[in-house]
Amino acid sequence: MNVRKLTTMAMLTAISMIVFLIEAQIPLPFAVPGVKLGIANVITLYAIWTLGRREALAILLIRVFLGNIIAGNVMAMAYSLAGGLLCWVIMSLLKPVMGRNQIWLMSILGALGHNAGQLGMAILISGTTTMIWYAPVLIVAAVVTGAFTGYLTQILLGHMDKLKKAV
Amino acid sequence: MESKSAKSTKFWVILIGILLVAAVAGMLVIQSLREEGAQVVITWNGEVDGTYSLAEDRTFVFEGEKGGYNVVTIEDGYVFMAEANCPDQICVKHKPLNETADPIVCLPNSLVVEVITDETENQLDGVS
Repeated sequence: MNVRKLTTMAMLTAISMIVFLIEAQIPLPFAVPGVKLGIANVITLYAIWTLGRREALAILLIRVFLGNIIAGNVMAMAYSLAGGLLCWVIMSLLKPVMGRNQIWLMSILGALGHNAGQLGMAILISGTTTMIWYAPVLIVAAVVTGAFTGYLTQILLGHMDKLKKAV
Repeated sequence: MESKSAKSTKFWVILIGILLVAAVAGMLVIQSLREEGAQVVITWNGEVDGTYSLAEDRTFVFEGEKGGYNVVTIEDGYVFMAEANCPDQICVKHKPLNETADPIVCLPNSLVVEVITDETENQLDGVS
């Protein structure tokens, strides 16, 4: 691993943690457990696209681990981990068959995986199946937030291209 | 190459569209299945803490070993999360519940408050 890549990864990890922590402070107008914008996923997508799957996984794992410790919410780590890993698996599998203008689709499918993983973990930990009632809401939320973060990533990649040309 | 990409975009959009329609249909079905409940089931850390009547005003305090703190209140036939030390406060924001379907959940502290209709309770009371 060269220094350039290592530095980029470190920076992306730091950015994703900041985004993760700021997002945790934003109150949401609706009370649905597990629903958030998931802007940190922009970093995961960006890393999958520009660095590679394994690098993206490393950034994701460190963000989940450190982010939840700093947020003072160790219990939430299991949910973040289940969601994040399933999201990463789905997006990694889709990467070879998708083009750059399809990142928003990759992101939606990843978000669906994230919410499914989180819901599964919630059912497992809480020992009740009643949370399955939230599945439809979580699906709708995943499509909306996934499309948003995916589109953001496409914009980001476009800007980074321009930046690289300028430098 | 471009047509191939456009084709696969179409495929995924249709797939996600179907899922979205199914989810919205599911939301409507859940809405219609919702009915007024009689009892509250509280599940804490994966174990049922107890089943309590909605008719009886009560307050429960849950203090976990890992620092979780929740106060559940039953008042005037409704149950709600009065207090919680979780960062998202989603459980506290949840509207007071007296119907079945989606429960009040505090994910970080692993606390689930669910309203059920209980037939056995009615039989015991000899109401019918």
